[in-house]
Amino acid sequence: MKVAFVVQRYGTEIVGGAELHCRWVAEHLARRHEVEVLTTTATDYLTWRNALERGLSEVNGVAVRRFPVARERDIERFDPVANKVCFFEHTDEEERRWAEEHGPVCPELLAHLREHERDYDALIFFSYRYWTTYFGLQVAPHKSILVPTAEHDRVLYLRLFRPFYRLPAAIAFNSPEERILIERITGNENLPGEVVGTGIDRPPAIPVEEVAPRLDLLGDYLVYVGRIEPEKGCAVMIDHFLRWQRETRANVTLALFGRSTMTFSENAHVRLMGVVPDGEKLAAIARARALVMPSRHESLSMVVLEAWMMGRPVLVNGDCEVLRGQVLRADGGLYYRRYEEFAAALDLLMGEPALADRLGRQGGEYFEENYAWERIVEKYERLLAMATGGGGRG
Amino acid sequence: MDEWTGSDGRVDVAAIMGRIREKIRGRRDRGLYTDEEVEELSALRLQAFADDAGIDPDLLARLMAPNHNWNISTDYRIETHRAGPAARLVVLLKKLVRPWIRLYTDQPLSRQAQINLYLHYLCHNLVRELVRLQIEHTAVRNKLDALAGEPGPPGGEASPGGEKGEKASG
Repeated sequence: MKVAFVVQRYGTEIVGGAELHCRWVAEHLARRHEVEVLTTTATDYLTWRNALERGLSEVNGVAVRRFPVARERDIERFDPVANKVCFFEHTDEEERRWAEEHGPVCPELLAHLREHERDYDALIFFSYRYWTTYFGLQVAPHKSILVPTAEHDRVLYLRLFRPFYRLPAAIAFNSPEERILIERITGNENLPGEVVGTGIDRPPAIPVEEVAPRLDLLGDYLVYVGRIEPEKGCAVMIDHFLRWQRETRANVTLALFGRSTMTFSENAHVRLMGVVPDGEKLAAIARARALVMPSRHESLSMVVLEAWMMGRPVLVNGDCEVLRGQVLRADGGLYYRRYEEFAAALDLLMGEPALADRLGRQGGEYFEENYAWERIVEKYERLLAMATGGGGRG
Repeated sequence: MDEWTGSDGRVDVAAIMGRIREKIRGRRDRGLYTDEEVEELSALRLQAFADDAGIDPDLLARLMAPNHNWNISTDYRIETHRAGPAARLVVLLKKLVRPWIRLYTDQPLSRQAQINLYLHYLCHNLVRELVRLQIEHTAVRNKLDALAGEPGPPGGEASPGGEKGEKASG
């Protein structure tokens, strides 16, 4: 079977949950099918500046066809229209303008799809909100699979996505909560598809005992992994953690792994570790008491899956339906909505190490049962059968 | 650890969260408030401030809502109170003039909208912190009053504060 993946950015250098998710799935499906990735030459999702060579190349054994972005994102034009469609009454025309300004506008990719769609047995589109997915999926919806990676934010409420979700032959949801959210907000019941998610590619193991002294993480610590920015809930997490630390005088460090776009004062208890190789990151997670995930908007937290893969419990933001649902299904950690719950949960995780270990083990079992690559690939095979068998609604 | 284990031998997260919430309710019984209650008290306080200022109740409701519909926008609806051909002419003229006006107003209005939003969050969070501090202050004062009412250590008149004072001066 010849399968095309369509995604806004692609490559080993791309840091982004949906893009990494796409790359892993493409690489695993390439072991069974002829896979080609159709993407842009951009690497920066804020500007969509063309940075890579156009044309055919190969990434980890997968063929990648890159097309240039027609125009970079203009913040002066994008911000007002994004603000308008997200927070104010607005017209359909403004929503269409938002889609154009949001980008990445890539007419050559669209032209390629129109010209060659017959060459592909199925098309898999990643992230509903991007221009490449919104317009690309409309070329051959009857053979298209959508991986929405939708979060509970205001973009999902835009009217232009209501009919859009009825188009694909099948949808690969990241979690049951994401499915419920999309069906509720877009007013579409019983969308075709199933809950899939993703597996995690484990890098070569690095001994935990080696990593901890090198990173100077010797005592008890909690770990956060991801972009360090207020939109991810990091400001509130640091505020809650420091308040808990002041109240309990606990000798615990919050170690933040990732690139930071916010300013905060590092001290003995809050440390910025920066970006480290995947092996070191996983080793650091494996030795942490727990991983904290403060984001309110997630369709699937790959970092939470990584923590469970390493046998560690998680403490997640309970306002995020997806994270709360995952934790309750896995019995793999605790959640909080307010400071008091955050403090009580930390008291438990830090005060009862055996309980934390058991929660981590339960998370690990849940990960193996639901997110092992064999399971994920089986599910994609079922969705491909739906797309190639013409079982969709396109 | 056993207290968390269910009959199936697994740790039940829903049960733990239930216990945590129970513990938080227990804190309220001791005169400490939950964050939700602080939120409710803050909303009441904000409403009281707005009432004092005589703000239009509709605007107040919008200010308290989770969306940002209260804020100014660069775009605006063109209307007139007139009727008939004069109205159509006025609307047409306004529509013709609008692009020129927006050329000069869009940027400052957009900046002002961001400032409004920031001040809105700042004020709401300050009131929330104020309410929280007042509650904590009251709880500490009540505790001090209760301690002051308790009998002193046997065989001595000096309070712990007095001893501390003596040591400091010595």
